[in-house]
Amino acid sequence: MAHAATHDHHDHHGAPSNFFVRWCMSTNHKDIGTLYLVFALVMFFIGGSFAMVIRAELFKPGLQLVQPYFFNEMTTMHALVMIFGAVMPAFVGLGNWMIPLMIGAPDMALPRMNNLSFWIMPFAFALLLSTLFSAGGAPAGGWTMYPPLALQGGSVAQMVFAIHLMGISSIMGSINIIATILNMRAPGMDLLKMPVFVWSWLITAFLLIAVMPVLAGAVTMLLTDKYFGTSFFNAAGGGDPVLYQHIFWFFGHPEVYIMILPAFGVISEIIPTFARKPIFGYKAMVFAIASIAFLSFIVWAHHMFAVGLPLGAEVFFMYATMLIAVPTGVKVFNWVSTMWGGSMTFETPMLFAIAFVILFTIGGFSGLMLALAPADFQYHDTYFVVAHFHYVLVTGAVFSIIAATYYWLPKWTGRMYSEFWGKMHFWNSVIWVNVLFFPQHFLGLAGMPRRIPDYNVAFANFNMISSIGGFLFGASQLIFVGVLIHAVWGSKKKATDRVWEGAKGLEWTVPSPAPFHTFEVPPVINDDELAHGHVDH
Amino acid sequence: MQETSQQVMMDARRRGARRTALIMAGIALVVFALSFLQMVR
Repeated sequence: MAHAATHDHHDHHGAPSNFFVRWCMSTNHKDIGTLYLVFALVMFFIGGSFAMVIRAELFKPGLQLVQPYFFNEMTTMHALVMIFGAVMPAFVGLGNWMIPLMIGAPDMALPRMNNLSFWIMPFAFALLLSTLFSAGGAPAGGWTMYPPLALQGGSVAQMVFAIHLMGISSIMGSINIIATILNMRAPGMDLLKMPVFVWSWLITAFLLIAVMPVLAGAVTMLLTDKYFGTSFFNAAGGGDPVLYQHIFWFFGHPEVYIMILPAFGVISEIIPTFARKPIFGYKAMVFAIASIAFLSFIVWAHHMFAVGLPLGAEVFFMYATMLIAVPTGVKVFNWVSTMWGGSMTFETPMLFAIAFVILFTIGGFSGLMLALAPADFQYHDTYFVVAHFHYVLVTGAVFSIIAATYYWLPKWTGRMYSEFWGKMHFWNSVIWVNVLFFPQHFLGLAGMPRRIPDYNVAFANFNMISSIGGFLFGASQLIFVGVLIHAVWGSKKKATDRVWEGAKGLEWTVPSPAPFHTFEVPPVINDDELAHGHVDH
Repeated sequence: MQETSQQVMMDARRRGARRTALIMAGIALVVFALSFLQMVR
């Protein structure tokens, strides 16, 4: 494969030894990737602690632990922190670390903007989380921030400003990723030779640039409605609250694909490695991602079936939504076909990847059920929706982030993680996550509404089971932290350069751990060694 | 000599990267303006 003739003579200008200079002023894609990943992990536990409060309150009927308003703060903040603070930054971190390595670039195209993109995030979340301690309280109207409800709670200005900051960070990160992929590829790394993970990020970055400004527009209008006397969404002033829902979901639906397309990319890297086969249908995988991205723009009103849309709109959005099952099905079948007949082994990344394929598909199927407009009148705003999006986001996006971490961790640290504890983490996660979320389907079908701190005693048993699953799933993630700490500081087992027997792609040609500077001289690309084999048969 | 030619190539790529970044930032601004101004009209 490509020879990264880059390393030995560059050791003399490695990472800065000063801690502040290295981490706060970094322009190195690997260090900034690490910062994003650590930030995402911290946010994952903060958002997770909010989820523990929710599940503790819902452990049995009645109000026992927290006030209803605080419960609403928890549901709102859990979503905002997990979506904007954990899942998105984790994927940006993976992209930062891996995209330059995968395309043979020495760094991101705009390294100083990369630093700024990251360092906006801690301030945005410090602002958002500080509202929990402010007099007005934290935002409590749900992460969707529907007016007029969201405007009645506290800290609207802080929430809006925090979202503006996150949006600016995301847009700058996306610009950087697009500029890197389009301009910094090594000679010979044609677009249709790029790893699927790189493709998935290229398409995701375009989605982000197309929709984050729409969210910024929507929340700016919320701000002016609240503080400057406008009536964009105020019916009494001639505005329309449903208009907000249209604008929000025009952002919001592509946003859910922003959180899952890079996951598709990760899984498309891991499965070929551990099946020891090139990915089945490389081009179909790329076009499927692009198709899903396109369709994500024309399905937003399936979140609003119950709001009173014209019948024609309901039918259009129902069919458009169901159409997404086609490219998604292509991807699932291609992952299965990649595994078919392969020499499979089941290291921790592969276990998480297989769990992803199965459990994400369950989430996809419940999504199809929700897409049926007449049926959605029953499911709307129930725990069935909560079960659905946690299957796609936890066993989908979060599992893929965990899988990617185990997969690339030896490349990052130069040491192997403990396979035993990795598998312990996997089996605990996969069992308890199902105990946590599967009963929520039954609760939703039986009519339990979402976002309530108290409920009918008829829902008691499944809620208790779900809460037990939640506590144990949360505790299982502590194993992950232990594995990470051990792999970074304690493990004696050195990683080889290729790490995994079946691994292919440029990132495995550099030493483990990846040197501070890589590919300062562009590598030579050999088609036989690409993860997807020859593209043009 | 090799370092110099590499440097020239990298500079050229970076210039392309800046152009790409400006175009993308422009698109983001237009989308923001459209979503905001459409409501103001």
